[in-house]
Amino acid sequence: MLTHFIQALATTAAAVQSDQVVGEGPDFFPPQASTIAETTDHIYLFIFWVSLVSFCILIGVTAYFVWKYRARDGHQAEWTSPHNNLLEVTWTVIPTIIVVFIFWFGMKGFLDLRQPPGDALNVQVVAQKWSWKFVYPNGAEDVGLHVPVGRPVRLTMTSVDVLHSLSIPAFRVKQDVVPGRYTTLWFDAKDGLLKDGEDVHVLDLFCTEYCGENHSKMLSQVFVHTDEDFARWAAEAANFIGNMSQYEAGRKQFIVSGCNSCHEVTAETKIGPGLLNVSQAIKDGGTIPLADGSTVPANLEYLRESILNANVKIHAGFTNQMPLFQGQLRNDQLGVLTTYILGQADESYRSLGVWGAAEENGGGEGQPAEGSEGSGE
Amino acid sequence: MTTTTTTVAHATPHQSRPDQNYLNHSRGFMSWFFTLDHKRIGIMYLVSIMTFFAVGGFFAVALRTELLSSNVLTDAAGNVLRDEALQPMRRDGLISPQTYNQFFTLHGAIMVFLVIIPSIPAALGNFVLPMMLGAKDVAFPRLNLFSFHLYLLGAFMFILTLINGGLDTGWTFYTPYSTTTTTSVVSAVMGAFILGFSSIFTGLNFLVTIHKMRPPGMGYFRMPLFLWGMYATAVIQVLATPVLGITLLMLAVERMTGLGIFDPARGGDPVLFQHFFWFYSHPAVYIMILPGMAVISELISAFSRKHIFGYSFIAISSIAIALFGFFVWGHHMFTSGQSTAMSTIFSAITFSIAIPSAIKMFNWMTTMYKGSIVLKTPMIWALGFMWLFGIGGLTGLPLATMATDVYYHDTYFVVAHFHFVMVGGTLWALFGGLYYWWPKITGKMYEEKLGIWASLVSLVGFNVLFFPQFFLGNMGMPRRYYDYLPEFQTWHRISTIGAYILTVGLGMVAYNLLRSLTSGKKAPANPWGANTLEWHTPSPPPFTNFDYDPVADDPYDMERWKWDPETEQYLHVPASPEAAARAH
Repeated sequence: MLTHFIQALATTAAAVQSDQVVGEGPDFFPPQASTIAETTDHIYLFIFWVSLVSFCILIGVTAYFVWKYRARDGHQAEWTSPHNNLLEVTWTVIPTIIVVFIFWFGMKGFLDLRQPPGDALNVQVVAQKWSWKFVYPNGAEDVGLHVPVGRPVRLTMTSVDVLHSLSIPAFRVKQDVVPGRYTTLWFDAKDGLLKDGEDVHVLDLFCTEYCGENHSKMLSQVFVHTDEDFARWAAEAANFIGNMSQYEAGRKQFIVSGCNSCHEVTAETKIGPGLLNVSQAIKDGGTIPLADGSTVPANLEYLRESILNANVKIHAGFTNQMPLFQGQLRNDQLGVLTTYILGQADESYRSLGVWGAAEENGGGEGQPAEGSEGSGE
Repeated sequence: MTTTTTTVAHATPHQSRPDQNYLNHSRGFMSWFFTLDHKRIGIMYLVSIMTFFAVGGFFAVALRTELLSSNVLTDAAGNVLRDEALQPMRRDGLISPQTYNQFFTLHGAIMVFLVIIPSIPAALGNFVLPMMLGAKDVAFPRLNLFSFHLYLLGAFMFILTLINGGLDTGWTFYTPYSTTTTTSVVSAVMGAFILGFSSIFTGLNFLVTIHKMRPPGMGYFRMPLFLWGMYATAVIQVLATPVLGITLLMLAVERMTGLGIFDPARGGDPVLFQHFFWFYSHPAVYIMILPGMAVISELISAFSRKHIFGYSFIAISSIAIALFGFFVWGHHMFTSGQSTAMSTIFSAITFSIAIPSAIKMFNWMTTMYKGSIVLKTPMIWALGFMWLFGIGGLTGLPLATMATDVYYHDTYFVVAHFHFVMVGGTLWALFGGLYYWWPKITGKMYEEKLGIWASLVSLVGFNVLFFPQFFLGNMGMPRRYYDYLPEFQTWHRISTIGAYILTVGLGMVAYNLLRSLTSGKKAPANPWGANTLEWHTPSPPPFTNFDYDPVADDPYDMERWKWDPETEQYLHVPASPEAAARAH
């Protein structure tokens, strides 16, 4: 197993030296997809070889002594001096010198990781249980991280609920995402990552700070585009509400806002209630049972409040796990989401036109009565 | 040197009433549960700790079984099927994600607070420490009993947590998750709080005992290294554990009243909790490993039939580890958003702590030089310790290095690293020590061959279990994941098989030790020929430990004991003229 490991590392080292992008490469490292990945791997390999040599000396000598001085007939322990200051100084000083080097390389590598170049493309990241939302300079939002190849990207991240951590193994980067503050991370997807004729290259992205029940399902993907492909994608993603029917746009917004990680639009219960029931109750003018035993009339006001601040009225049979969306959703986003949920039971909502057009007509029955204060905060 | 004649007088341990020992001198539940005898308290700790070890182990095996297969669905070509939200499609696992999260939390919390932290100090230390000092008991026997009762109360709070909705925060209780989850955080936190006091009192007791109750002839630099290790551990227990208490109280208050110490919505700081938590929990890592190192120093010397090499360097390195250990907690937080300057300082101090550990390893290795190495079960565990702790220690280097830690933080590399240290280090030393002192504790010999096989099976199982987790970490596999992408499956599967092998090995250990109680041979006073004072009294010892006032000698003078094939034990002999000359 160990020899296999060493071979794989040697392959990596060779690839690093010849300055090629490691493709699917050795089993033990993800491809080196960012400009800093190579440095990190170099430092790791240096530590690995130092460790391997130290370990072999320690275990080799121990094993030799165990064999050579094993208790047997006619063999007796021989008295030797139990002190030797020269030996003690040797095995104190040599490891000290080695770790000073390791510390120094590690620090330099870390400083590079902390300082993004000034011309980086800035992407806002909002993490919540259990989804990622990436917001681009042109207003586009998506659950995937889309970046242009060969250009530094800085992520400015925050969380709306608990701690999360964004990790992209192929880029060798990781940073905790903390509620109530901004943390940043940067990377530069390496030129040459895209093979000839390829428009986009896909990498894995993980949440690495434990965040509850579906922590292991808080995955996403990084899409490394060519410059042209990135521009095309960004323009398309920014305008989807203006280009689709409200219901269809709502369906997309439902995913972008991460609603789907806890809610089904059928009657089925996930972490939160299935939304078909809520939709049906609003259509029928029914009521919603609350966790404190009371009921509230099922209407638009209830739905809107439950999206923006779920904590106020908790559905019977559930605990509040939902982040605060007040300030997270623009008016148009809230509008299409509402249409989408109402449309589950009441099919008339599915035929509404584009959001902006509906608003000019005074708003459909399904629109919130007043504007959301969300975008202004 | 006057001590020579004194100890020769007790060359064959004798007793006024040879059939009386601490095990049979009184009977009944109350004579155990309210005993002030450090030996009985040690045994009660041992039984409780091993019980919880089995419970924590059950959770671990359940986790590994869930991880046997990826639940992610793929198409015929092996590509992951994903929904519109980029999430892989999955089938159901054997247990639910919520159950998995509870299991890994309880595995961690039970193993840390109820097993590893008390294991060597409270169980073996309680039994051995006063005897090594030639004393009748610890300095404060009542406080010692109170520590044990607190341990039981803390354990009860954990059981209460289990029954009352469980716990899903991870053993680290990170805020704000721990202040918002619906599971029973408060009872678990109170459990850990109470266990903290149990640990503080044990540490305090040991500190005073070592300071005030050393026998004639035992200066600080004539103490067995086990005592140096216990002393260093006790310093950390007394100084660091109160901070854990304060932190957990703040967490409980935050949860119950919403005070806003850690909650950003109320102006608190969630990262502050991490600082508080690791201020205790990193030194706690040394509470866990220092006693292990202390045991290994005794085993290597005794079974090499050699004086320990570099005594004062091993002794001082324990103290150095205990002190440096207080200033490295920030290395758990390189990715937390902590400032770059602070991370740099913490990284530098962290490296400095690698040196004393290396010094110990090299001294143990050199102790074996020109020895006569007896490969009995305790020595097999000690050699296993060198292998496992060697790997555990060296894999700490890429985690102390900032650039590489960013990559490895919260991946399986970290999981593998600390299991190599905590299990491969502390637990291996615990089992080595348990076999070593088993004849003294119970008066019975275990079966040697089975003991060696059990140790080897466990060693193989452990490596198969945790070595692949380094590869998983290299691939970027995050920890605390209920499910994983298919590319990680091979190593996860091998790892799970290792868990089963380790279970078999530990099962053999339990069988061997328990069987020796009924069918083991009677143990002689000194089956190993070690010269620390607990071997100068019969096995099992009398209620008062010694029938005379023992005088300490060089604890590592192995030439004072010669094997007697007729009685199958080591007998005390007068010092040879050369040895006597050396001692002067």
